[in-house]
Amino acid sequence: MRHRLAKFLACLLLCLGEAATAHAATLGEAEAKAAFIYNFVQFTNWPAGLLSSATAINVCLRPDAAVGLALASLSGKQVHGVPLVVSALREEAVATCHVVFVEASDGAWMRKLAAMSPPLPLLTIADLPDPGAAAPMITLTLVGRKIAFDVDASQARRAGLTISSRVLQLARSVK
Amino acid sequence: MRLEIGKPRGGRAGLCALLLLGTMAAADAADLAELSLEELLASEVHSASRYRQKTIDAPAAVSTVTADDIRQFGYRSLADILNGLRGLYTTYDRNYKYLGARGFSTPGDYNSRLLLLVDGVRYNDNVYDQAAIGSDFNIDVALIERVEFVSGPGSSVYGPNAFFGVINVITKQGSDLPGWRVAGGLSSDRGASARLSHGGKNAYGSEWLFSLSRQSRSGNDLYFPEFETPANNNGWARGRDADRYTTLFAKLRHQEWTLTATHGNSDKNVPTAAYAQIFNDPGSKTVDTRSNVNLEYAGQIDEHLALTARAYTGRSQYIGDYIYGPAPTTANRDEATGQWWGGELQLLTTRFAGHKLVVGGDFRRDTRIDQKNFDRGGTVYLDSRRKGTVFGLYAQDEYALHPDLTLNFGLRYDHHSASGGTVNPRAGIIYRLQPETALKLLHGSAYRPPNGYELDYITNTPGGSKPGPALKAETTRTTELVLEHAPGASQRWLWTLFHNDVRNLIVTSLDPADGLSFFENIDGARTIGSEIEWERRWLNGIRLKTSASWQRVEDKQTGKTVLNSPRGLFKMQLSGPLMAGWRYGLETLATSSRQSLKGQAPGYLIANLNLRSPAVLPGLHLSLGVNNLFDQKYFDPAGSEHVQSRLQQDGRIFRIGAEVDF
Repeated sequence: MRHRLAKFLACLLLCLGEAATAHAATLGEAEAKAAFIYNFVQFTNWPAGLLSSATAINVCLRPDAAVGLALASLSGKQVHGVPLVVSALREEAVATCHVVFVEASDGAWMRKLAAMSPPLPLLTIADLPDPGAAAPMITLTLVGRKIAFDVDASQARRAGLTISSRVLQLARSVK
Repeated sequence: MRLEIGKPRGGRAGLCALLLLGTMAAADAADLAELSLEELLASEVHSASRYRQKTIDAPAAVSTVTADDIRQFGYRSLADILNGLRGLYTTYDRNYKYLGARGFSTPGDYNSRLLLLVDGVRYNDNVYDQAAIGSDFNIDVALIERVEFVSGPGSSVYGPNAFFGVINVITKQGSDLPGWRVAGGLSSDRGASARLSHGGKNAYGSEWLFSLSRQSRSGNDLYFPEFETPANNNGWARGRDADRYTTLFAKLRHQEWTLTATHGNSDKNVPTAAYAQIFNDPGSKTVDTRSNVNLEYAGQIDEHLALTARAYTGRSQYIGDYIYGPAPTTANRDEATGQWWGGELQLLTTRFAGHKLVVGGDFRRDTRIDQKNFDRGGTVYLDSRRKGTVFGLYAQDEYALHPDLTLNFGLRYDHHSASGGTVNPRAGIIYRLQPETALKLLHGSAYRPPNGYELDYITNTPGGSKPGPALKAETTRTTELVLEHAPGASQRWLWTLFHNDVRNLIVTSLDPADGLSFFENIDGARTIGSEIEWERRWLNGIRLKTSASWQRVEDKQTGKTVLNSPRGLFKMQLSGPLMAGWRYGLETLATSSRQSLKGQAPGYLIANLNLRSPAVLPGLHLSLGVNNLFDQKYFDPAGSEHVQSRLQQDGRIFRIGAEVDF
């Protein structure tokens, strides 16, 4: 056995010594989506004064959302000078949210948000477009093994939000 | 000369010192926050939710363990992983690990009623049809991305041995374990483990992963009251429980092509004096060597047609040394060597609206099914050689009759050169009561052909074995009702109700006229059972998975519960954050009492705790674990080859481990 091990090690060293550049590891889908959401929050501007009075940026989502745990691991990070917090999405407390993330399986919530008039200054994000439901401002879509996103900038503007051109440039489509 | 019947076989698992600290999840909170949009858009994701979506649609009740669970709960062997799953239980005779499913784990059965697949390739050997799940499994669990257990008959797709279920092990890719990694661990049962791996991916889409692991456990001194005499060292087997194993893994992937090689060698001392050996002899041991090489092509021919093709070859060798007295002792050697190659082809098409059609075929040539038994430097009792051919053809269709109603039909024909042809059907109705709730009604059959050991292990010596009547394949028919409810990705409920009818069960019988044993088919057994499982993840990072199973397996002839069949099983895995980025994983396992040939193994409840650190230094992760936290004294039933009626299992064991990635 000892000889075999030695051979194996020698092979490893010879074959891989130099070629071994560690490339980006694949991410879990939930982790990747959480990281996208974190980026979107960084590159979105809320109406003047709204954040200065806030003690935190509140990301609301259903407690059972797949991205929940990954997103929760980002809570406490400073964005726009205040910490990010993650809380449960409840109808009566929707006005306390800055960001709402809704899963594809939960189109009803998106319809509820779209029906609000005047629109709340809420950044709405969903994964997978639900053709039956109202579109959110940002939609995350799994394309093959990668995630792409589409932006509805006009809807964001109606809600008083400005999504940075950096996000718009990288979007698959912008409305 | 006592040439014992029954197959001495060896290898053993898990309790060994392998404290494999898994590698850290790809994404720490800090890392996630640092990922730019450009990096995110360029990253490939592996999707848990898509997979879950699939389990609710799968025509079976599927249990899954992920790489993260393996790290979190400090699992060290495939047996540890499987033992935590709904409805499964392992038995350890301090030589091999045996897996029970649906209340079935007959002593003397080397897991031949479960099909073990690694990345889709059959890993059961061809002498005993054994699914190696202990230290004789030739893959380090740190290299496992996911284990799926599909309970119920799987012969309509997978052919032989998919009798009570299919264990599907999916191994990691090079990009899952990038760079050099070194891991090591120590355990209080005088164990040590080490692993070295290198993985990566280049710009041309090629990935590679190499790994070498070594685990060594000297084990504790063991006391067996059945041997409590001065001649037998007062019942103490001192230093006789050693378990040492080495595994090698290599995987190369280039676009649609994957080449995988796995190799393992495990060396287990046998402390139990099984097969009427003399007690406390250092020479009593088994050595198992298993090697597999698999080449896979998995590609998309066009938008609606996917092709998977595989070619594989494998070899398994078992060498058992059995020491018989009185002095001067005789060393009896028992050997088995299996060698095979084969290929399979599978086409999946979605060309016909509403249908997902799979057709495939596979072929295996057994070039060696050899068994030998002899006294070292003396008489040869058995020298059997066999070759064989197996082929199968199958088709399965998933037909979406309505958006909420899916029908699933499958049919497979297999032919074995030794035991002839067999047809196995399967039918399933999956009805979506709501988008998140599915009701499944499943019916299917499966078979297990007599294996090389059952056909050829004939010694014709006093106390040995003789030919029996011609053996038929065992068959089982299962009807199962499954209700699955998954409201959101963080919660899942599952409830099953099942009925199994096993026929032509192959058992060892003893002819009182000449004291020789032989294999024969008997009536079989009937099972009724039910399981419930609940899985939940909370926003604060706590995860819970718990299941309870109840089953009754009745021998059709006697009406009694079969051996080693617990009425109830309970499993619970709880994990969550601690301070400073540490996470705990607490596992609780309970099994009700089980009957053995000469007595009973009482029910037990044990707990295992494993703590995992964040990066304490760049790239360095630590783990601390305790197995059998409350030092419970518990037993597994012993088989007919033992004087003991039950065998005591390990008490509390402390573990510490570290892993560094460069």
